Amino acid sequence: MHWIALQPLLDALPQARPDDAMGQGLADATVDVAVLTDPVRALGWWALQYTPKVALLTDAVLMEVSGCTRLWGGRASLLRHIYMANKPVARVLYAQGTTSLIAYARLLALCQPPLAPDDLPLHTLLGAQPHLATLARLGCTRWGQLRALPRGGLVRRFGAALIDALDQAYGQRPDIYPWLALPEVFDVRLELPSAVESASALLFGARRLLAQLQVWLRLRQRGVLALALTWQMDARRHTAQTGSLILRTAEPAQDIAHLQRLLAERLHWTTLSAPALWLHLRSLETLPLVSQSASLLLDEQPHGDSLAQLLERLSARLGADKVLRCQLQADHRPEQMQAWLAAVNTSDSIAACTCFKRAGGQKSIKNAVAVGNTIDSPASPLLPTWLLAVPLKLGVRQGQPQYQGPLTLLAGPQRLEAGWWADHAGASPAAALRDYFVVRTRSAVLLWIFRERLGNAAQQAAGAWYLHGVFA
Amino acid sequence: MALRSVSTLTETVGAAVWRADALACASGAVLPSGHAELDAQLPGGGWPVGALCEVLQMQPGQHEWRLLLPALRHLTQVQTASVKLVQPGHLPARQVVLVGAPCMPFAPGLAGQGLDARTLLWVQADSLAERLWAAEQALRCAGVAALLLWLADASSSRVRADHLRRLHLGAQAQAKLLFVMRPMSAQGESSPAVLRLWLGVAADGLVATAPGDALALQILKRRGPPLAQTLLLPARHAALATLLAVSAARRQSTPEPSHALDRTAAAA
Repeated sequence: MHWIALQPLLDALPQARPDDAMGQGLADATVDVAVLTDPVRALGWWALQYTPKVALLTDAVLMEVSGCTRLWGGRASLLRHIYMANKPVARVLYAQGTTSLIAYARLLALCQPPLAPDDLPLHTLLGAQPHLATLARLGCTRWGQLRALPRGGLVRRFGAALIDALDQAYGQRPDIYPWLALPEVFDVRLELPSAVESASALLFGARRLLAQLQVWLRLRQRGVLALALTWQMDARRHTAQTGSLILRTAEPAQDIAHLQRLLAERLHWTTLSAPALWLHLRSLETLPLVSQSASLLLDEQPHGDSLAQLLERLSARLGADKVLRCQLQADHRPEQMQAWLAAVNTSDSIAACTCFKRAGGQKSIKNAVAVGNTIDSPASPLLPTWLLAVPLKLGVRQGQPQYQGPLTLLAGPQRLEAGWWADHAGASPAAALRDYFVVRTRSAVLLWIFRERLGNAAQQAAGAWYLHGVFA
Repeated sequence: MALRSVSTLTETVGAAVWRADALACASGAVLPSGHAELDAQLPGGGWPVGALCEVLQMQPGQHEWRLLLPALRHLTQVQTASVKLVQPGHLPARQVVLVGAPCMPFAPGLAGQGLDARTLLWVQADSLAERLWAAEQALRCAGVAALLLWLADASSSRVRADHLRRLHLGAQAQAKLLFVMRPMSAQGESSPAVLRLWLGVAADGLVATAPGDALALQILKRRGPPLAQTLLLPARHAALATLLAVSAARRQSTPEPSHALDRTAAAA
């Protein structure tokens, strides 16, 4: 049996070079330890990649490596992997021994070269902690001195627990631990150091949870699609006890910076009804992450963020209805030829959207679904490039429409009679009976105007003129 | 003697020295603007990619599509030709982002002139700060090919030169095509743009050489000698110009009634 004990270092110590094969030392890694919510557990998750037998003992991680030595190409090679590889917490203290308690005691004693088991100080034996003062008065400060005492007398004086701990430490009783497993779903709670009044300040706590999430995601080799952040609020007020927020991304993300930015935007729009005391982060959906192959050519590497990230970030701050993407529709009414849809929901497939409910007739639905928006789209070079969302009613002087002065007719009419199938009661747009004209203003801008065509000839003279588009 | 030494110097250093009476060579990539007369006057023969271009106008939204569409069409067509694995429902990799457009873009009309509707991303942002932020984010994105930013009516808080410089640096870092539409009043302000254009229209009859309306373009700033003359480009694209010519001919052949609009509506 060979045990390694690891302990994350929370305060800064002068950094020692890790030893090659035996003994204690320090090693570095990637994430700032102060950011993680539970560094010991994160380190334990990390250790699972070497051996399935990992246990947490108060503030240290214990790993039993004798079963996996051959897989890693010998003990020296395995130790090199463990000591040199990037760990989830920045600095780690480690020690090893033939039993878990020896490794743990050497971790606490931190003496170079490692002490023999008999020379280990007694305070490093967890089972002896309650009796330390008495044992010290007996002149017993080392493991060896305790072991030399008669067993019967020790059991009568201190109880069986001490002698069991000593036997376990010397390998005369089996080391039995509940082994650590990497959870299927990330679910971590964090007690905030003080009650948080504003939602933006929750971000500091959430950042620690996200850092822990990143460790979990990396080790599971997954990317997160949806997250739920819940906060528990002060119970004294007559308001809701919890609030929550669900964060979704289009691409499975392991990049915490992006999630953090999205969360910051979402929290910015959130108000807390009472001070928050607890935070709780849970992963709702994750996907196996397919990492991209790097290219040897410099030009091949894409620079900057992905498009999905941009859309999410813009939508998070400006609002999803402000970042729009176009869906062409087969219709003759100009206002129905295109639909601007929120880009975040349609980024995967623009064809799968709700707008087909509004597209008139089965045929257009079939066309639009079948071809997306390339074939049979209403695109024409004779259409304007800007469209007014609401047609602007034009003033009329001497029977002629006016817009910044008199208008000159250049082309038209183009008759449009469509949408008669729409129900007039519902929200769907009404039928369009219009004559479109291309006119030129005095400042030489081409406009697209229409005149409403009413039922009979007598009403026709009263038909109003509207500006609908600009040829820019 | 002095002249000879200068000429030998220019021979030895070659293109590394820009002579102020000649157009500069473009430092980065250029994209042909699609207007031959304009390309001849631009350093490198096209729009500079990865630099800020300013377009000054009397009113926003009047002629910029006519000026910019040929280049944007080229950009998107190159992309569809080079990217083979474009699935029908999926987004094209390179987007044209419109930030703070003065009006709703009409995608069928733009698609009719060759700009794929799926490449368009319309970002509505009201305040100046939001527009600048959105533009800066878009410039950082790998999937964006071109950015059109309107700063014309966001005059409540003034656009400063350092705002524009940030955008310029953003475009430079990621090699994006960046156009900023600004009002005519910005002409007197200093700007980090490498190219500033005044865009207007020369009405029919004002210019003897060009019958019909023409797009008038003055290059206010470029890397090269100042250009005194106004460039005239066709104000309408070919299909629309044909339609206008045909309907003009038809109207001339028929007797003119008193109210042209009334007549056409009644006769139709």
